[in-house]
Amino acid sequence: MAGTILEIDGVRVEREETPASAAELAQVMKAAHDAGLSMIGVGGGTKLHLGNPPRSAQLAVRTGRLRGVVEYEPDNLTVSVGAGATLQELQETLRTQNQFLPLDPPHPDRATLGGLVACNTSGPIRFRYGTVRDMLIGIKIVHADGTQTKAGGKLVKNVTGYDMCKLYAGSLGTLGIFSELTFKVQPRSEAIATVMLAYSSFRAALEATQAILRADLTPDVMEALNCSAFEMLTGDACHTPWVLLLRFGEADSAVRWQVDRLREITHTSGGTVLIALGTRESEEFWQEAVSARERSGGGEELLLKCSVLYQSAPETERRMIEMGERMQARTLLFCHAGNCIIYGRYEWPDGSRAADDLLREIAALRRHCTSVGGHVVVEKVRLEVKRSMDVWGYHARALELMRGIKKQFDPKGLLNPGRFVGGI
Amino acid sequence: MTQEPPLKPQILEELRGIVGAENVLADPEELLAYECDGGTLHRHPPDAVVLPSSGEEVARIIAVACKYRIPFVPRGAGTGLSGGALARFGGIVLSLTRMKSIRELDFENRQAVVQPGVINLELSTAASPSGYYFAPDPASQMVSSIGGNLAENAGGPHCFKYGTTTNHVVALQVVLPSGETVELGSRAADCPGYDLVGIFIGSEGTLGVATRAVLKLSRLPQATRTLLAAFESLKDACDAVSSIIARGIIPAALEMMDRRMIRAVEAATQAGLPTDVDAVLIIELDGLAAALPLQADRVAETCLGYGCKELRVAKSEEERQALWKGRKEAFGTTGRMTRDLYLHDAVAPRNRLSEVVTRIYEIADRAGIRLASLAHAGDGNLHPILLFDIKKEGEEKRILKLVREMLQICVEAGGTLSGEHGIGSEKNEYMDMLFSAEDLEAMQRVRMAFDPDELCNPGKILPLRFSRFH
Repeated sequence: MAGTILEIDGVRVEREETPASAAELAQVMKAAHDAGLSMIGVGGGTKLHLGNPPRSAQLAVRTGRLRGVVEYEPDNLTVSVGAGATLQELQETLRTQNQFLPLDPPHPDRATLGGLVACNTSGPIRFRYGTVRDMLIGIKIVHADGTQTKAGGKLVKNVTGYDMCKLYAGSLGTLGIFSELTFKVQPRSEAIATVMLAYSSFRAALEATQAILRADLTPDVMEALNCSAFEMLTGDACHTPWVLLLRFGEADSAVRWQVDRLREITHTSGGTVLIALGTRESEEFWQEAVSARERSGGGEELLLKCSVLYQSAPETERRMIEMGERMQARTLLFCHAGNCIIYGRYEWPDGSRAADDLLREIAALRRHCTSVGGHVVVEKVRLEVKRSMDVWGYHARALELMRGIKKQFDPKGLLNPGRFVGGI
Repeated sequence: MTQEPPLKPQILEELRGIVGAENVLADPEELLAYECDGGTLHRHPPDAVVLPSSGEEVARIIAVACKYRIPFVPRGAGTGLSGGALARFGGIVLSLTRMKSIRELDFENRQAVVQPGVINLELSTAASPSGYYFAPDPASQMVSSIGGNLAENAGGPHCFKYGTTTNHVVALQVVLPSGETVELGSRAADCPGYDLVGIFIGSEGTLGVATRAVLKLSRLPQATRTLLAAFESLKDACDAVSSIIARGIIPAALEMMDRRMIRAVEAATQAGLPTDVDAVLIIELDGLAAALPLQADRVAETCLGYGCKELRVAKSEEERQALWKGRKEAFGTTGRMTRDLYLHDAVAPRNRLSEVVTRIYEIADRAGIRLASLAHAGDGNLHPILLFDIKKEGEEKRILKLVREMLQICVEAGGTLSGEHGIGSEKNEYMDMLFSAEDLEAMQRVRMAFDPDELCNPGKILPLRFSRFH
């Protein structure tokens, strides 16, 4: 991607800079600020589809040269790394000490840590380890006017002032561009097992997750895939409506105990064990699996992220399936079953669905999810449709507070303008 | 700007109209109980204390405060240790102790909905018959309230494995300093927008008043194993801690006490602690029963490798409780050792624990101040307790100098000013030791976005030069 001039949601970036240090990043941003240029921070470019179309994108600031591991202290379980490093690069370093950063977003080979933090990207393993906000403990950031600040440190426990790391994580580049990030890391599990269970319905798979937790099992991952999603992931024909994927990472004895216990309880929850994978096979499997929801099947695609509560999840799934049927789309559902986040990926031949129909369908699903206290974020959709909607769908009263924060940090509105909630 | 005048009778009448006369305290003697929190070095009485029973009442009280531009300070159980709940510039203390109902336990989503006055331990007690609990466990958990835990981002022994309060909060209802009520975050995962829940937690009551919280419940671990390891030197104990972490073992808790602390605890609780050693570690492992024996063996092996003199494994729940009773009541037993004390809270990176602890003892010796020490060693969170007699000539000055020097040592080693007690009005002037002017200005911007008139708990966290009361 380097060397090509970017286009973000149809807005052509006029200029690019790739600073080699935090100081250079600050200089670049100060100059842009003084000239009144809008700025968009870009890491690996794996999430450029996320957000509303920018109002303007005069300067792309690439973090690709801020990529070294700055300080790694295995016996403190912390690592500081340049924001432009890819997750995979970092994991390779951590692996030498048998540790890892428990984040498993799509495209770890290209996704940068700065981008992951800005977009608050997560994957299935969040069920056990949480999201970016739970592991980011220190940050260095350059604000719109070129001012450099830091927050947090390399400590796992720290209540010295406001917890600014939380504010910056998930702020989509609207409060500043990160130069360095410090994370709490984890020891790698000695053994891993993955068990795939077949269920006749989403509800049955979901109920099984409750039974699994009540039986004292402590999975890393509880991921439910519908038949189409599972087929796309494995390339094999799937003979069951839903598959529940469980991953266990512990000491070997504890993994074995869990797999045995799972086999015992599965028949009472109406499931069938399809396959169980050992440590190495599991690692290989999940490497692929995490990117599946963003793997393009050709043609046009719509990617939705629906978050609801447990009680509303089956009804939400039903509506997502019916929506696909009405659109005559191939419907792939990927659900973080322990967190009740359902990614819906819809595919159909290019341009064959009217924009108005898409808007209406998305709005109807969003109305349902909002009515039960959830949300729908439209992660990918045809540009023509995106221009007519707000992809975040967030209208709570707290939005005014968010606008106030943005105004405090970026009064001229130069950072990633228009992309975030409420046009921030 | 100078201090606000005390409350006019008309204002008190308005407050009584909201919560009833019995829930407004304005008599100087009654106010005395609210002049400080658990840390007693700093005191200032409020002009009134108001005890609301609902979020609506909180909003109306704050509206009155806004109308007359009176500062207000939210207060939970008052167990804080950094002067956070202290009405530094007078005004109204909003005591949330009457708002103590657990509204909902939702085990399918592993969430609890509570009012801010709910006592930390009561939530776990309510959830435990169903196999769940609220993981943050500050030593004060029998008395401290959820609202206070949120404000301070409370920790506790078990946050080594499970994280601090901020890792266990899903959503909040907050009355902003403007009097407006907003929902921060959402019960469904990944609420779009800035993580306002994240910035609110640990804001020490300066960004508004939480009137309802949705908290994460955790599954009770299947099994627990608690060990006690005694060491002839503090350094050996610290090195054992670093080594356990480096070996990839994540105990649920990893606590340390020094000789003076052990003796005081033993005298008070007769828990059977070895009193002829310089340090003990209490190490708790939890998780799947199948995983614990091997982990316990590795921990034991590591401790023995650092010259551990005595190693005990609690054989029953009673023995386990006895070990924890000693640790949890440790601070309370310090009264036996001294007339006055100062409980310090500082953090060092875990791999530099040994050198930091050694230096802290050196400078205390040099200053002629006795120390007793507790530490959440697994987190690098140190609690040296300074023992002294305030009546002695120049003692307070000596103590404050020593407190500052200890922080300096931690900061130089890459540590920080507070791990769990907060900055409050106790350490706000030390913030420059760690942060640049720009770093602090970024924090001030957050404050301005929430509370432009600086009515909500003024004079906390940031140095006073940032305050209009300066």
